[in-house]
Amino acid sequence: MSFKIFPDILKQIASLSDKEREKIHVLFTELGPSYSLQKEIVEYILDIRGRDKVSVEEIINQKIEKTLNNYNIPREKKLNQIRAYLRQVRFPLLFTAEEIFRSKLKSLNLPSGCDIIPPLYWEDGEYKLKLNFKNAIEFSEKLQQLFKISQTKAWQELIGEQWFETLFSSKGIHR
Amino acid sequence: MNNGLKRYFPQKVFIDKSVINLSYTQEILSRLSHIPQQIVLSDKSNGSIYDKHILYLTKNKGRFFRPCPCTNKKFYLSCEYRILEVGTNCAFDCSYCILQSYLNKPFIQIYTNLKDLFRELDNIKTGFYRIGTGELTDSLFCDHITHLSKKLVPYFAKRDNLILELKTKSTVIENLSQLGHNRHTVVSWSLNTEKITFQEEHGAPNLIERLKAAAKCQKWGYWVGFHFDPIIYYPGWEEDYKKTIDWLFKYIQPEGIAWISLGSFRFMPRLKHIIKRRFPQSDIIYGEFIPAIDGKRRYFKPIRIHVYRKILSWIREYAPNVVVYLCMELPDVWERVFGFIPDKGKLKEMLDDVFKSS
Repeated sequence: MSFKIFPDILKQIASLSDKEREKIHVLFTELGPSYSLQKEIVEYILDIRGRDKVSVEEIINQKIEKTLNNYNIPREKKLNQIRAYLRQVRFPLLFTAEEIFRSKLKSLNLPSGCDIIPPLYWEDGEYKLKLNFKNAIEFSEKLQQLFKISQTKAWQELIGEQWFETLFSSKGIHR
Repeated sequence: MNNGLKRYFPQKVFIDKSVINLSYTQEILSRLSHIPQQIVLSDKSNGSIYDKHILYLTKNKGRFFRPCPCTNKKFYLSCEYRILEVGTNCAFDCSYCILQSYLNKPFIQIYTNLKDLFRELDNIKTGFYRIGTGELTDSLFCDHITHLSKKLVPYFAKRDNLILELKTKSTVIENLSQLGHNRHTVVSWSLNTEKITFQEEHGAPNLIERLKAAAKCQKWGYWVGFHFDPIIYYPGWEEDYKKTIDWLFKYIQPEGIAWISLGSFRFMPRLKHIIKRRFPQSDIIYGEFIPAIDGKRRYFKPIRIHVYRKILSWIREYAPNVVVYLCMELPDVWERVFGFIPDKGKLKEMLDDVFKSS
């Protein structure tokens, strides 16, 4: 496989120790990420390193190694899993929020083929409704179900973002 | 002061040739006669100097008076503040300072064409404005050199539709003691926790020194204001901000407070690299910052709401009636923190009313 670490990524990791750079090199050689993914992954690693005062060897830990060395997982999937794991470590509160939202949404029992997409990072304030239907009758039925759901307390709390405060009851989440 | 900077004095003064004959330039130079001075051509100063030890006296070629370059007003609520650009940069070296990424002249500039400044202010015949000099610099850090407060405060005292805000971290307040201010000037301080003040606000006075200076100004009859900005979310933040608020009200009477603003740490992405390079020990950039609508990085919204609500509740324990507002925030954040969203123009009205009702 033809693969390279891009020059500005090399510049970003230049101040790391030889061992730390080697770890990143091995990770990238194994996963072959594109430029934008290299940039994203290195940013996660360097931010976690700066925040938790740990070495890259500690960040690229057993969990990542296990995924990396599992030959039953295709490369693309490994890349996605490792990227998601690093994002979770970098953004624990955002990750928890996404988990809570998904779980609360599931418990609403939305009609099949229907999904609610929260605002990007909950920042721009607009939720999106995705609705698949086959014909006018199904459309009408699903709308009625959605209307019923919209009257429930669980829905109001979910969209009213009243669950945000519960994020802070999880111990150990400071930043 | 925690890191040793007692009173700012430059090591060298550059004077733009075009302002050398202005009386205000000469006035300032007379206080700096012990410091090497050099006349330069204005176009030679661009970007070639990166040094806060250099004070550059020059001309503001643009406008002094203009709207605050608040963030995207379509999404974030603006307080319709106005700025009076009297100079750029300051002697303190706060790691989070946005000026590091905004200014292409990182030395300290003071504009000495004051006639133009007052001409612009004279032309404001209608409307009611809160005007601050502390947006691109610290309003008072070199007032012992410029004595600008002695010119601005009495001028604003005579203007019924203009309020001056001197926003600072410094304790350079002596010039204010004898001035007739007519309660048209607010002297305000940026406050943070002891930890952030010590670790991130290099060269700035500590919290108690600032509060003692604020208490003096309150004693002299000035309105005082406080800005919790940038609020930094870190392990232990709750205890630390609570302590800052306890101290604030130990020194300051709530009745004389014009306003308290809250703003969480936000920055353009390029600032992150600057902080990393200039302040490698700082970890303030490693919070959960997400890309916001205005292109800045902001704390994930639940964090902002959580922090504002807590700080507001602590302030309310001491000062139930003081005006508290959020700087550059989303309407739904306002609603979650205060229980209401100010309509367009209402936030300005709320802040202007402090003076109209007094």
